[in-house]
Amino acid sequence: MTDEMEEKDTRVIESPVVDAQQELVDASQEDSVFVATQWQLMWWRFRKHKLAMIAGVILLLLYCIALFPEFLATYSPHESRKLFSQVPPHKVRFVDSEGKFGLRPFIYAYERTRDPDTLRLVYTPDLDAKYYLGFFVRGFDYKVLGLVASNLHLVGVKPDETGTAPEVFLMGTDNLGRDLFSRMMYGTRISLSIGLIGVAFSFLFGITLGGLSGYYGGVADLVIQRVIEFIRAVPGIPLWMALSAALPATWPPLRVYFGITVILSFLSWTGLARIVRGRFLALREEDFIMAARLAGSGEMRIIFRHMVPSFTSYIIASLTLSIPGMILGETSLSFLGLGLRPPVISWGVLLQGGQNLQAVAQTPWLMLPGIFVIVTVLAYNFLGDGLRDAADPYSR
Amino acid sequence: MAIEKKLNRRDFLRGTAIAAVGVMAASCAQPTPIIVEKEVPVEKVVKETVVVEKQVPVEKIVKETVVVSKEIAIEKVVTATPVPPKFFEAPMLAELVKAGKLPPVEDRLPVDPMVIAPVDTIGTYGGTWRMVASGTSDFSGHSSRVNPVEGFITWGMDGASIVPNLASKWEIGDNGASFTFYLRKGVKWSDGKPFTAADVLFLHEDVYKNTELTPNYPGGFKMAGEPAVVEKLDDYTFSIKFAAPYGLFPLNMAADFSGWSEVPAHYMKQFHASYTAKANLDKMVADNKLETWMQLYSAKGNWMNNPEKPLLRPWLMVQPPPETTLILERNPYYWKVDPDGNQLPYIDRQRHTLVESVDVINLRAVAGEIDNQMRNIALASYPLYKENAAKGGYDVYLWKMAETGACFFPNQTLLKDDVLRGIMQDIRFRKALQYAIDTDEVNELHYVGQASDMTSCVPDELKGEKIFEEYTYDVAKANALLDEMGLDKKGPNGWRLRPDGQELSLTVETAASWTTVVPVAELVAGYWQKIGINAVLKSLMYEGWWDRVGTSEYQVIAYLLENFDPLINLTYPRNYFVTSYDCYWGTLWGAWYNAGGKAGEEPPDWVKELQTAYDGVKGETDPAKQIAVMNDAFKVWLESHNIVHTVGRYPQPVIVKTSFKNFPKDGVNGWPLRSPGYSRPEQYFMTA
Amino acid sequence: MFQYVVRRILYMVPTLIAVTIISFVVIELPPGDYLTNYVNRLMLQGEFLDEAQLEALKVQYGLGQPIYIRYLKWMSGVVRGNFGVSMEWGKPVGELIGQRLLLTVVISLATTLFIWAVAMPIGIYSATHQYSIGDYIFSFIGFVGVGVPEFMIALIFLWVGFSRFGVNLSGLFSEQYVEQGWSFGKVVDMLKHMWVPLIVLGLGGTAGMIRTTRANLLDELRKPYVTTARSKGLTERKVIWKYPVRLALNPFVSGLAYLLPGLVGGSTIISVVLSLPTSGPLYLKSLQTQDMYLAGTFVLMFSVLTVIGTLISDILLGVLDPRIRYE
Repeated sequence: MTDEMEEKDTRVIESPVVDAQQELVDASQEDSVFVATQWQLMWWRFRKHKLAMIAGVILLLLYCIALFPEFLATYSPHESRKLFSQVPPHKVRFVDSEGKFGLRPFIYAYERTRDPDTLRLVYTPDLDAKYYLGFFVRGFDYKVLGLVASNLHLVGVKPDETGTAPEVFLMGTDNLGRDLFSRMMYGTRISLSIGLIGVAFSFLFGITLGGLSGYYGGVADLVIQRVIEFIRAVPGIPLWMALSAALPATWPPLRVYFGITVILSFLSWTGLARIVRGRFLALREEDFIMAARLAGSGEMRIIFRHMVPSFTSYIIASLTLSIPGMILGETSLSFLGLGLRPPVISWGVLLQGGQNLQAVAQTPWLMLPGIFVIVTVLAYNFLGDGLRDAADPYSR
Repeated sequence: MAIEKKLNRRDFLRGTAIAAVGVMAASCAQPTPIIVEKEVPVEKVVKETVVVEKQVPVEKIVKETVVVSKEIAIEKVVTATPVPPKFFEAPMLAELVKAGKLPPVEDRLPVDPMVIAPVDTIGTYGGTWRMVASGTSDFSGHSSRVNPVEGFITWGMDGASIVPNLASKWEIGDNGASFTFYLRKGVKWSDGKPFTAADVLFLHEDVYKNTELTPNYPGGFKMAGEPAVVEKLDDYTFSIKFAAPYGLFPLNMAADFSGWSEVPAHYMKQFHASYTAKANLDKMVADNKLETWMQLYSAKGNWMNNPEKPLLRPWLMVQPPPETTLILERNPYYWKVDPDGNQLPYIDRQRHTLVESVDVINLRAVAGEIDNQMRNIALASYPLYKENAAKGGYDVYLWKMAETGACFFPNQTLLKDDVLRGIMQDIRFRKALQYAIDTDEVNELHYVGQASDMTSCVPDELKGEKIFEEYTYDVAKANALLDEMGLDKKGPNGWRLRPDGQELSLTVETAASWTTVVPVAELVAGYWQKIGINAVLKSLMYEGWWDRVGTSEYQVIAYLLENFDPLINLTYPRNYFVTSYDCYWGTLWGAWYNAGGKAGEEPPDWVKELQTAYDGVKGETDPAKQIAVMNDAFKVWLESHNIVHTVGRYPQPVIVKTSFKNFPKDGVNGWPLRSPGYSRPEQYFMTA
Repeated sequence: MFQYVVRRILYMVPTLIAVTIISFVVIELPPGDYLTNYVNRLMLQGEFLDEAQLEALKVQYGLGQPIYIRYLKWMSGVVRGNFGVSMEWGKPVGELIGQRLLLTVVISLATTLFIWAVAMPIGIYSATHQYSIGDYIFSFIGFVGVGVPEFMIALIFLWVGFSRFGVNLSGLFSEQYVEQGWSFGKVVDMLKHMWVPLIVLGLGGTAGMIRTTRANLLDELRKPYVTTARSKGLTERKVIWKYPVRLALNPFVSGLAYLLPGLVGGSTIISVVLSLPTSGPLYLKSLQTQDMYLAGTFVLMFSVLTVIGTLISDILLGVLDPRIRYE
C-alpha cells in the first residue's frame, strides 16, 4: 500500500504545475524578485496557494498537539472508569434546556443505566446537573516535554457549589472507560512522529543510494537499480510480516515503535531513490554542472554545492507527500495486527478499537480517530501540492 | 431428602459418578440394554450398585452413599428400556430406499440403536442448519462440535456424567488397569460396511504403533512408560490393558481420545503401506501431488477434504473445500434413534459458509442468516445481537463458559532475576497483587457486568473455606502487605524499591491474539501501578509464545484457567497439578515432573504434594474419589494463591433462530464437552 | 528495441530467483511454523489436539526439515508446475488459487475500469479548469479518498447497508444463490453485490489517478507546442485532446506494472472486510497462518507479475511516447 502511494506521488512530483494566467509576484515585489533568494521566491509563491496555507496551519496545530499532549489531554490516557465505559461524546453547550444562551460553555452530566434486556449501556444527560467548562484548570501531573513538572490542562470541568465535578469526555470513552480525547492527544505524538522520523530515514536511504546510482552510473547504478527493483517486486504484506516478526519479543514498547518506523521507511525509500536518481541523471548533463567541472570543482563540491540545492525543493515536496503514506501505513499495520500494540497509544491502535461491527453500530465515536487521520492526510497532500507548485523554479 | 433443594452442577457430578457405576452394573446384568434416561431417586442406584457390581469394593460405595444421600435429591439414571418396535426415516432417505439405492432403515440401524431422548419434543425431519466459520481450520474445529466425533463412551447431556455411546457398556478390571468395551452390534459406517473391533485394532496396531505414521506412540495411552495392549475378544468386544492403573482413562476417552472411532479399516487399508503394494501406493501419492504414503494416508483420512471417507458421525461432507460454502448431509447409516423410533439426525443438512472476518459473522448473525451458533459469538457484542434479535428472527441464549475470566500467573520459577523470584514466591506478594484488582470494575468493563465472581468456580465442598471471598478489592491491604514484605521504600519515580535497590517493576506478558485477555491485562497493569509496582503490559505475537514460556524468563503471564471444574479439568491438569512446563506459574517445576526429574527444577514440598495428588487421581477408578482427591489438591492450590484472578465464569451468547428447536436454554461451553456437541446436535430440529 | 527487451528479460531472471528465495525466507522468518500457528488458533477456541493428531500432522506437512531442503523441493515442483499442497486447506495450491482467480480478475478489472472511467474525465477537467471551484471540490474528494483508512470505509458500508437498507452486503452472492451453480440469475445477483467493493476499492485509486492525470496534463499544457497550436488558431478542444491528453495518460500505462499483480491479488484488506471470495483474503490468511506453499506461490506469482508488468508498461510507454528511447 505504501508502495502504491509512493508510486502515485512520484509521478505527481515529476510534473511541476504552473498556471500561466496566475500573477505570482505583485508589483511592489517586482524589483526584489531579481535579488530574492530561491527560498524567498518559494515562500512568495507558496503564500498564493490558499489551501496549502490552511493545510500548513492545521499541521502546525497538529504538531503542537504532538508536542504538548499532556497539556491538551483532559485526563490521563490510561485511566479506566468502571462506571463510564462507552460514554458518547459530551455535547458542549451554550444554550441550556430552558433555551437560555450564555457565553460560557457547559455540559450536562450523564446518568448511566444498563438496559436490562440488551445489556447495552445508556447515558442520558441529566438536565439538572449543569457544569461549566473551565480553561487552564489543574489536573493530573505531568512533565512538559519530560522536563518541567506541571498539572495545568487546557480544558476541564469546574466544580459546582458543592465542590463536585463530573468528568467531561469530549470524544467519549472507549470500552474500558478511557477518555478517547486524551488518548487521541497522546496518540498524535506517536503517529505524527512516525511519519516524520520514517520519512527522515527513507530520505537518508533514498538520497544516498539514489544519488550514488544517478551520479556514478555504471555498476553502482546497475546494482542499486536491481536492489530497488527487487524490493519493489516483493509484495508488501509478507515483508511487513517478516520484518515485524523480526522485532525481538523482549523489546520494550518504545524500541518496537522505533523498529516499526524503520520498517515503514525501509519499504518506502525506493521511490525517493528513483526520483533522486532521475534528477541526478538529468542534472549531470546540465551546462552549469559542466561549467563547475571545468572550473575544477571537486566531486563533493559539485554534488553538495551545485546539484543538491537545485532539487532540494523537489525533495521537500516529495517528502511532504510521502508522510501521509507512512501515517496510513501505521494504521494498516495495526489493522493487520502487526503494528504498535497496547499499551502504546497511536492512531492505528486507537482505530483498532473502532474497527469492528459492534463499534460501527453502537459506539461510532470510536471511529473518530479516523477523522484525524483523514484531516492529516488531507493537510499533508494540500501542503505538498502547494510546496510543489512553489518549488518549481520555472513557474516564474 | 430435600427435593425442593435446587440441584447444582456439583451435586450432579457426584451423583452421576455413582450412577455411572450403576450403569456398568446394570449392563452386566442385562446383555442387550437399550438406554433411556429416566428420573429415579438415587438410593435405588446405590442399592443396585451394591448388589451387582463386582469390581468396586463394597465399603467404598457405602461410604460414598452416606455423603451422597445427604446431598442428592433427584438423579438421572440410565436404565434399560425396550427397543422401539418400528423405525422411521427422513423423507429424503425414504426416496432413496424406494429407488433401490439404499437398504431399508431396519437394515441400516444396529440391533440395539442408541435411543436419544430429545431435549424438549420429538422433532420433524428436514431443513438446512446454517452456520458461519472464519476459515477451514475454524470450520474443522467448529464441526467437531456441531457434527461431533462419536466416542465409544461420551458425556451425558448433563455435561458431567459419562455414558455409553458406540460401546453399549464398558467394564473396568485389574483395579483400573484394564478396560473392556462392548460395541453395539450392527453399527455401520456411512458406506454401509460394519463397524467392528477390527477397526479399533487397525488403528492401534497399524497407525499408533506404526512409527512412520506416528513417530511417537501417543503419550495418553502410555502408563508407566509402556504402550497399551489392545486385544480383540470378539467382533464386538475389545480390551485395552495398561501397565499401571489408569483411572482417568474413561474420562479421557469421553473427552479427547474420540479419534478412535474415526478410522474405517476397510477403507484406510488401501492407503496403508502394510496392506497395499508399493507400486500402487506410489502411483496414488504422485497422483495427489504428495511425497510420501504417510501424507497420502493423512490426506485420505481427513473427512473434511475427502468426502469418500466413511464416518460414524450424524452428517457427512458433500461439498468440501476449496468451495467456500461447505455442505454436509445426513448420514443414512446413522445409528441413533429417538424414543419413537425415528432415525436421527432430524436436520437434513448443515451449511457452513466460510467468511474472512469475524465482523461478517456478526453481520450474518444479526441479519438472521445463522440458525444456531455460539462459536465466534462474543459476549462483548451481546447488545448488538440482542438489539437486532426481533429483526433477525432469533433469540440469544446465554450459556456459560467453562473457563474463568483473565487470570495472572506470577512465575515462581523465574530465571535470571533471583530477587524478583524471591518476591514472587512470597505469598504476601501474590495476595497483594490480588487485593489491588478491582474485580467488579473488570466485570463491568469487560464482561458486560455479567460475569460471576471467582467463587462460582470453587467446588461446593470448598466454598465454606471462604477462600475467594476474602479477596475483595482493597488497595490499603495490598499496600500493607507489600510494606510488610519490606518493599516500603520508594524510588525517584515513585515506584517501590526491591531489596537490591532496583525499581520494583513487573512485565505482564500475553499473546496479542488473546483478545479476551489483552484488555483486562491492560486494566490490571494499571491497578498494580496504583500500589507502586511499575507494571507494564507486553502483548507478544503468539508465534514465539511457547519458546518464551520454555525459557522461564517471563515474569507474569496473563491468560485464563481453562475448564475450571474438577471433573473436566482433570483432562487438562497442567495449571492445577504442575504437570508440565506450560504450567505458567511454575514452569520449571512442571517440567521437572514431566521429565521424571530429569529436567527443570525440583519443586518445594507443597508443589510435590500437588503432583503426587495427580498421580493418585490417575490411579483412581472411582470418579467420585477422583473428585475428592482433586478437591483436596485444590485446597492446597487455593491456599497458596498461585494465580491472581479477576472474575469467574462468564456467559457465552448463542444465536438461536426462533425456528430452531431442542436446543437447551442453558449449558456450558467447553472444549472437553465439545459444546454444544454434548447436547446432541442430532436431535436438534427446525420448524418451517 | 528487441535488444532492450531481451536485456530486460535477462535482468529479470536473477531478480526472480532472488525474489523466490527471499519470499520463502520471509514467510519462514516469523518464529514457529504452520503447526504451532494452528495449535495456537485451536487454543484461542479453547481447543487442544492430542499428541497423536499432532504427530500425524507433523508427518503430513513434512515440517522439521531444514529450510533450504524445503525450498529446493518446492522449487523443483514449481518448475514442473506443482506448487505444493496447502496445509490449511489440504488441497493443491494451484487448484485453490485457480478456483478464486476468475472472480478476482472480474472484480479487479471492473474496479480498474471504474477508476479509469471516473478518474480520466475528472483529471482532465481539473487540469483545464485549474483552481476553479470544481477543481477544488474534486481535489478535496480525491484526497479524502486517499486519506480514509480503507477497512473503515468498508465496515461502514456493511453496517449502513444492513441497518438502513436491510441488506447484507458482504460476499458476492445473496443467500438463495450461494449454493447454486452459475445461472443468469446468479450473475445478476453478483452484479448487485459488486458495486460495494467497486466503490470502496475505487475510492482510493480514483483519487490518486485524478491527481496524477491533472498534474501531468498541466505539465503538458504549458509546453511550447501547445502554445504554438493555440497561436495557430486550433480549437481549444483540439489543442487539448490531440497530444497533451495522450501524453498525460502515461501514468495509466505505467500503472500497468501494478495492475497485473493487482488483478490477481485484488485489494487484500478490503476483500477481507467485505469477505469477498477472491484471492486477496486467501493470500493474507496463508501468510498469517504460515501456510508455506500457498503463501510462497502467491508471493512468487505477484513478484513475477510485477516484474512482467513493469516490462510491459515500459514497452508500452515507448510506443505511446516516441520521445522515450530505449538506451
